[in-house]
Amino acid sequence: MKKVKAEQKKLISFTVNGDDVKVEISADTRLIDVLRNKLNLTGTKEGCGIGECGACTVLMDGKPVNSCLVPAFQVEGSVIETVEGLDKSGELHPLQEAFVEHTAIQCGYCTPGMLMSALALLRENPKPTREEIARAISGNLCRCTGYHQIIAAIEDASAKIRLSE
Amino acid sequence: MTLGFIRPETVYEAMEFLSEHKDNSRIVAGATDVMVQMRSAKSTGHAEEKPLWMVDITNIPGLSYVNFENGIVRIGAMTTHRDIARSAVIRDVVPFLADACRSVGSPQIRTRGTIGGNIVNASPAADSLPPLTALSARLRLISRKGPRDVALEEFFKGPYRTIIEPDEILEEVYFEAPESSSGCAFLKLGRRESLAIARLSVAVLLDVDESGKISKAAIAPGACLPMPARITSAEEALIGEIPNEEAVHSASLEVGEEMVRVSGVRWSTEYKKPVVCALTKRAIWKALGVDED
Amino acid sequence: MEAMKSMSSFTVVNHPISRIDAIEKVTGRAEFTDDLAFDGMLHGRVLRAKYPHAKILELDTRKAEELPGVVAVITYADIPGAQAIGPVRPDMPVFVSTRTMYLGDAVAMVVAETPEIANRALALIRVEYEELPTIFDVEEAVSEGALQLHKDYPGNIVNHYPLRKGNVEEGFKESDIVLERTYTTQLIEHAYIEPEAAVAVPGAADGTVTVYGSIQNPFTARRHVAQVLGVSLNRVRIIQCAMGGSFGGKDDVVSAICARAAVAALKTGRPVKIVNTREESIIESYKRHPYVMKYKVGATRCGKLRAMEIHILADAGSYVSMTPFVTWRSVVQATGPYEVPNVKTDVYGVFTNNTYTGAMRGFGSPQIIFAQESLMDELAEELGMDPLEFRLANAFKQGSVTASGQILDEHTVSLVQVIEKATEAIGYSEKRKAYAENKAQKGKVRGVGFAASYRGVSLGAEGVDAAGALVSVQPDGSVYLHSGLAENGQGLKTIFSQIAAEELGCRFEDIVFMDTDTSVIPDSGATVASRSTTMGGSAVRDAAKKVREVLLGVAAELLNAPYEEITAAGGKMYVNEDPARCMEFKDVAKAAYGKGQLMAAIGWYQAPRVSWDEKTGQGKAYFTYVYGCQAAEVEVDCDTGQVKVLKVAAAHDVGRAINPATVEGQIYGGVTMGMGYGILEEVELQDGVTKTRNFDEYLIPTSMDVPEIVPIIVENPDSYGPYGAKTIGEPTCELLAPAIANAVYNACGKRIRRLPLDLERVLLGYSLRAARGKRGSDEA
Repeated sequence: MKKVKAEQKKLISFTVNGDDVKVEISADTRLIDVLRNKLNLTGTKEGCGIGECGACTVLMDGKPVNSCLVPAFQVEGSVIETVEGLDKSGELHPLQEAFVEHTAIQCGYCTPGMLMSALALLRENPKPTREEIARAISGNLCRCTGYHQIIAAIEDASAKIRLSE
Repeated sequence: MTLGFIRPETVYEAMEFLSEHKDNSRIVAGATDVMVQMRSAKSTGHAEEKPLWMVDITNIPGLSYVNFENGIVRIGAMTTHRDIARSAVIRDVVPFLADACRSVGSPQIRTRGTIGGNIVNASPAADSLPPLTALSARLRLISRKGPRDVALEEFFKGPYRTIIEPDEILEEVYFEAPESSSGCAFLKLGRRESLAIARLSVAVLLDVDESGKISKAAIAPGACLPMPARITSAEEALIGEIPNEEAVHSASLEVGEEMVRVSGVRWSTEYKKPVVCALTKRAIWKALGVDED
Repeated sequence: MEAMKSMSSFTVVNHPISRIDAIEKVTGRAEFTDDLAFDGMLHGRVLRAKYPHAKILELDTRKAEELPGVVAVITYADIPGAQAIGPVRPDMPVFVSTRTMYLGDAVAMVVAETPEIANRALALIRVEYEELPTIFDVEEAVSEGALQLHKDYPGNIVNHYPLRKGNVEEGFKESDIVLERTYTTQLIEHAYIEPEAAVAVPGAADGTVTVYGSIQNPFTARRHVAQVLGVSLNRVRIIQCAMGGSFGGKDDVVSAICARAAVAALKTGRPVKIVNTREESIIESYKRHPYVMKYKVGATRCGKLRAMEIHILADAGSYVSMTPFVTWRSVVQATGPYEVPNVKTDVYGVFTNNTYTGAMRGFGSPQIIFAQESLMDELAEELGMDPLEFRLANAFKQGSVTASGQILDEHTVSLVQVIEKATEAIGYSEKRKAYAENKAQKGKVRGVGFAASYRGVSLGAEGVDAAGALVSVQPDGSVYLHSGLAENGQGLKTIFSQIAAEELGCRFEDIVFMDTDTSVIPDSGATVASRSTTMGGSAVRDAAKKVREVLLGVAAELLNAPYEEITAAGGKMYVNEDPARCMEFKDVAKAAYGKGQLMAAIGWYQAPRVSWDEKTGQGKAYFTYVYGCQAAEVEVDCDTGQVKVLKVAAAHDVGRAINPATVEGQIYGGVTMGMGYGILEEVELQDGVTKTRNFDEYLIPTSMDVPEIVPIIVENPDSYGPYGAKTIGEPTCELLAPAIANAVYNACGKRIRRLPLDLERVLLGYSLRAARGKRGSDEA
């Protein structure tokens, strides 16, 4: 019977924005540290470190998580998506375009996390109401915009995505 | 500081490690509480916490489920708040539990936080505990010594303290599904609408018989007692009554009185006593299907 | 967005153009300070005070220095130049040496290969303290025999601003009704989502250093870093990275962080990065001044104000910081935008051992507006008048005289206009009556309220007020724009680019805005006081104008038309009478380059003269003003104390909206920040120890808390601003708290004179927070 070992360091394999990666992590490493420091994907931001601001939001197996609260050893075999993956094709994702059009960005620090929460929402709810949008980003704090233009942008993006399908 | 981590693939492996490292292990599931608690020592550069082994149980299959069979609802400890909030079974049979789980933290927290973690963390303000208490839920704990079944109300020793042994894992929480004729409600009062710890909460489960009298009542407040409990004196004020303002008021008052009896008068009592009474009233009417607004 | 495309006569300005920095932010490529990495970079972690007021008897860093991976431990002993810095008075030590004055003071800094090693080393530093007596309450601080916190400041008074107009004794005698009220505001946090950060990189030349950082005011940072290093200004180069918000908060605290990083970088010869955790940010960084405001007001029976006597104590905390400037604005504006013939105002900055307080969006206005707008409603009630009627009867109009004796006649006084628009949009008059009649104090009740303000633009008589910009057209027609004022996230780069494009006649897309670099642009003062549009924008316009003149001269030659008859707009230069005779902007540039013409210019704008008499508080305090009004509808849950803000109408005169979309963004954001001030936010200190250390306890509004917001942009072009533009940043966040307090009163008859209107205060009339400690019991 194969027995699992206790470890201090480990080489974990997972995918980020469609690419396979292998990263060495220790027990203290958080997913956000892997992304920012080991993979140089600095789009994901740290604002509080305790999952209360959402600036570090990424998608893990399609669902939004605070990457500051995910121990890296749990990321083995996962599918991770970050803001850098949105325009991987070379073109802005409709959500990104909508944010630009609707002036939904001021300082831009909460923006990556907001986009990922919005992406998760639109994948499972292509026609969200404003309340549903507000709820989907209710774990992402913004101090600059007052949220209105962000919600308008997400609503607009959902319409554009539906049109293009 | 951590000594390292282990990702057992079976419950047996987990229990074996835990029993061999009783004094310095920590079970990690969704990690939303664990990661925050480990950070507080680090962030201000003062004293260090005791280093621990992280025992990650997320690799163990079969601990996340919602089953409804033979009148019993069983929820695996690793089921996330998100999954419980969306579960058709829970929304149909015990919607107030779905409401409670839906109110936890934020979408990101709900993706990761588990009901087992919520129970074992034992915060007096935990959202899932009032409905589970009202349901007289039971817990199934396992260790190398075998399984043990405990009533939820007997599981807690105090704020953030439970009777779980260092080598035990919470496997499942289960309860009898209420009668289909019953009504339930969960109300949470926070300082804001999301990312909010309950300032006060209350769960109510009621059944009304054919003559219109309340035949069963379960009332469990949150964020006002050191440990979750049903307020039997409040429940008794309702049993046998055809729903009326006076009885509902008496029952609600009892919740505040019991809070003071159990916790004594504290700095927050002046606020909590009248408010828990008001919230309980609203929850009772909501459970009866009466919209007060 | 369609509705926003204005019928403007401008090509670029006054249009809702997408932000110039949008793409990099939306793709995650924008470089914030912590995203930077340099070869050989070290990490600095600071050990902070254990007690808010204590003598340091011994500091032993040896064990920390010996830990493998630690390169240095920096203390005050390593500072080559000035030990202390400060925007007004250099009283804040970069590292304390003899005693701590508040909990956020830095005692030492470990510089190590990784942050984890640095963290572990912190625990190995030994400090021996002797606790000293403390003061945490302003009234105690100014009382007889109180402990003296700073030896040069008797009575713990940082500064005192008096204002005397007319004779208040006479004024009160003439009044039929006299009210006395005390209003109190709380300590709050900027809560920018990006914590403070800086990276210092030693320069190739000896004694030089470049510091990158989340720095609101690059020139202030440069001055402080140079002072601490003991070098001339030109040896320090500050480069501002993308900033994750500031709201006034990344000034002196960040200068200190830049200085620490610079000292460490020069000592180790390697780049040093310092990034605050959220807890460190809340503990260390300066906050908004809590104010205790005693107002006495007299009015005639028919509702005319006769006299106001105002006494304000502002909690400056441990260091002077910006207290003199913040409190100066308060003394100017404390009466509110009303004609009051007799005024006696005294504003005092007071030292305590609480966290020091400094610049925060509003800068001495949100506090007084909470007081004055609550008071106006209370006074109206006593007089049996409708609060709206009462405001209109006393509001500033064209030619009115302010409390400081300034005649308001050089701009359009639009106070009545904004009040009417905002109150109408919320349905104030009908709703107020209906809600007031509902006497029930149970369940959920609704109410409406509003607040109005006037605000002096830019620094006023505070100090030097001038700004610069550099426009440089390249041989291919592309344009570099440098500004001495910095992007805080508010959209400065965008609107300055719009102004430059409008003035130059090129296309918006042809402009590249360069990050603020102190080695390029003359010192333009701070990006504060909502002065950017007026001051910086004017400088941009000035620079662009100079370059356009050169280009027009070349175009005139090439198009064979008189210079005055050529228009430059949208990337083309054409003859007015015959637009077919035109040239592309880029071809004119190419030709100008070929002729050896200088296509660059520095623009400079100096604020018009203002004046202030320190003894009487009389003078032309600001060269122009803006007016704003926000009206709110709330729902109060009488059984729980919960206040839900349902809808807000915000009317703001901005002179000219250079970019209507970003102006709206400022309105939405400012209203939301004002809402936090009104019902949610408070940094709790217990005996000087910060209790609310992260966002789980310091609560700001989430997307599910914000109300419906109706932004109303009013434009009365101002002669001083570029294209008539004035200001928007701060007026938007100074009004909602009193509007909410007034609405709560309308809803349930509870008048709350203390912020925030949290659950307990609304239900009980006073707060119960355990952390209150020595602040004493609250009164309603």
